[in-house]
Amino acid sequence: MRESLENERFDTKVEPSDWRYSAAIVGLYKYLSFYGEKGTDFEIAEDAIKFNCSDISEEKYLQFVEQYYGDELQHKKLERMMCQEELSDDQIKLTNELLKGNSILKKVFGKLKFDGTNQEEILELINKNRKAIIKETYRNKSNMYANFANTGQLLEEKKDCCRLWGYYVDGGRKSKAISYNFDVNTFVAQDDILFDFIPFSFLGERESFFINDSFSVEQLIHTNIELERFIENEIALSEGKAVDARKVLFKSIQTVSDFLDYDVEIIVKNRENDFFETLYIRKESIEVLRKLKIYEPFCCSKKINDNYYVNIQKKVLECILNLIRTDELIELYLKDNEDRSEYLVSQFVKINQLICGGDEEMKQSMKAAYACAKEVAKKLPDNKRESYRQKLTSAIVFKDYDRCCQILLQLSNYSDVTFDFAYSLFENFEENKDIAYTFINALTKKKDND
Amino acid sequence: MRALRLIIHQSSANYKREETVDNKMTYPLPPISTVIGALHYICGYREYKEMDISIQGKYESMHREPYTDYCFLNSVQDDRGILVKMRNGSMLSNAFDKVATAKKPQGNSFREGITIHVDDQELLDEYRDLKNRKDSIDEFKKKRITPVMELLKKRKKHLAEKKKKLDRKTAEYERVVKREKEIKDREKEIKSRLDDYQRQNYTIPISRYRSLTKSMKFYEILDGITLVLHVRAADTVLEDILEHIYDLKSIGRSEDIVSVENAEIVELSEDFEDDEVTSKYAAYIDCDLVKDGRIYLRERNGKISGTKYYLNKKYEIVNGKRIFEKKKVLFVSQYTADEFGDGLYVDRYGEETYIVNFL
Repeated sequence: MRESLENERFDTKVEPSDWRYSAAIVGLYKYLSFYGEKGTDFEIAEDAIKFNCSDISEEKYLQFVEQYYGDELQHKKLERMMCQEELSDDQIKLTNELLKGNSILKKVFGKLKFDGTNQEEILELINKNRKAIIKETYRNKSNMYANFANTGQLLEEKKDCCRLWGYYVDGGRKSKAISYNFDVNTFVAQDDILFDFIPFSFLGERESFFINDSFSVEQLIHTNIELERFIENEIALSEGKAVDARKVLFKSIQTVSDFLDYDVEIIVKNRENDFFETLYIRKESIEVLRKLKIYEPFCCSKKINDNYYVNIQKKVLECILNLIRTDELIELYLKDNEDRSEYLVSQFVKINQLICGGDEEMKQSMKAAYACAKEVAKKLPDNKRESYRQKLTSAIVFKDYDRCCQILLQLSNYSDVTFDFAYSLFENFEENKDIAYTFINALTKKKDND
Repeated sequence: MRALRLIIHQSSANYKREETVDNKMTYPLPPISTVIGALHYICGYREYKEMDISIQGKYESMHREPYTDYCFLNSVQDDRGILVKMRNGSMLSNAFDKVATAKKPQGNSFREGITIHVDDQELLDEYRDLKNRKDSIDEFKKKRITPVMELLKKRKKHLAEKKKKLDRKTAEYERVVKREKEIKDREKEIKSRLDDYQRQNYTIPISRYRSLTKSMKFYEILDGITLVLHVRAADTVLEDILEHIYDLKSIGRSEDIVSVENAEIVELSEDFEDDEVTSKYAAYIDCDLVKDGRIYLRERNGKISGTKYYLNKKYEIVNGKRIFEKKKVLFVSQYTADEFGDGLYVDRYGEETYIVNFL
């Protein structure tokens, strides 16, 4: 919420009234801090950020964009290349590609080609058209403004409808449909030029996150800076490669004790969607994540067919955040015999236990099931063991629990191993499903490292 | 303190956040205005009755659900969407007949038959006839009416000039005035006949045609919700709500059906003999209570964090728009209180103890 102040040191106050203003505050803070070094003054109060409107101008905004995105803007790369004394053929080729990098650069440089000698001319053209180049590149690049808001409204004063994707509607054609009683006069919306600062608050690449930790403005900014720092550390560790912001965020929640150990709302923007999504982090989920201790093994995808991959990390997090069992994933991995499957299934069972709160009796039964499975695997020839494993997997996937119990009895009889753990399955299969999963999963000859 | 306690279950719900269109984002619990609106609706109140609500609850999971969104455009567009004819032109509903569908996002024409799929040729012909009739009316206006009107305008001007030169008491002046009136009446008649003709033969029949667009949109849905609501209001209002509580069908969208587990008027207490109460539920808590340390989230005097919401409570209509009064709340769970009174109460129900904070 934005408010004008009179007779005070600052003329504007912005409160984090909803996530859009919270994100705008963080973006604004980064902008004002950048100019703070050059004398711009602002104040972080408990509930709001205070500043002077005159400190926001198109020219300053674009200058900040240039600094914030750096080499992601093609003209910055070009400038860097032009400062080098000698350029190889490949670099000359790359420079010529950059000269046609987007429509504004094509317009500025026209048919001009870099031949290794005309650096001055190129630099002069960049300097002459710098403002337009930054504005148009920033406006249209899919990871910059275009990812967050309607490109037509960049740096425009507030309109009838919010400029952000997912909020924006084509006013000329659809305004009646979103109004009460098909009457445009009843439509209430908040738009603000300050929403143009939102892109600076989201962190990540294809999937970017904003943590709306808005109880106090100081905390809001602090949390954003913390996450930014975690991402930078991860980038440094991965030697400059792009990092998955989701992984960094949840790994940080898991490992850094005072980072987000409370209920908080996270806003997600996926570049493939033209809307924002909400992710609620709950204390119960944080506890599960922390007790789980491991994270890296889930950062993978599973190929289902040439066009379809399951993002395991996303699925596991969905289960943890929604406190739902990972049965779907367990059954997916039980069906194949990859090297990693056994380990992953054991971790998924562990997640189930953390979510459902398995007691000591359950732990003992699971240990027994594991030991029995290993004994059976030792006694049975590979083809028999594999065949029983297959039968049990099919029965459990089809939720034919009676069949599953029958196969267990047959297997016990055939292998001459007593399955003490099976009584709880006969009593209530659904509730003790994890014991069955543990047994099937351990029915291999591979040595379990866990 | 007398209050009404409601324990409600919903298998799923979306508590929509203002302005979200493409993905209708949800609040984690219903906002105050949603609850107040639902309670006013079941009691049939047409005016606002003062009430304060305490909202706590929990949900099991959350997912995003796609749906097909049908949107009637502001006006009929010849080049896009689905052309439909409403059974009742003055009502927007799903009682319509499909006339034709545009095959491309843009650049189609129902009138010219460019890249369209015809669903009802008869209705499409009617639409085209109407459009042709509009063209003939425009042509008639341009070629016949405009010259006549201009001529009448010239005559009026001439008569006005003549009138200025004449003495008001002369017969000639009277004649000019009479003639001027005749011309004005003629002008009016021409306009009104044309408007009548246009209304009967074009405006009314074409108003039954609408452009409809279909798109995939999303709802964020919470599943397995339990809500514990406390209502503080005048005794008559509480009794009204209690009487009509089983008329409460939904909270959120109309399809977010509720089942009421418990509804009773209870006496809330400000005294609590045990040390402290920790809530099992998540809740919206007045920010000031958290700031003052009367509700604490982790260890006492620890850092306060979390998401603050400015929730809508009641509105006033200003220039046709609903302008809401907002309440600053913090969304928290596993919170603890040990001092009650002054807006903070305890309610015991069986083995449960609820911390009640009216907003």
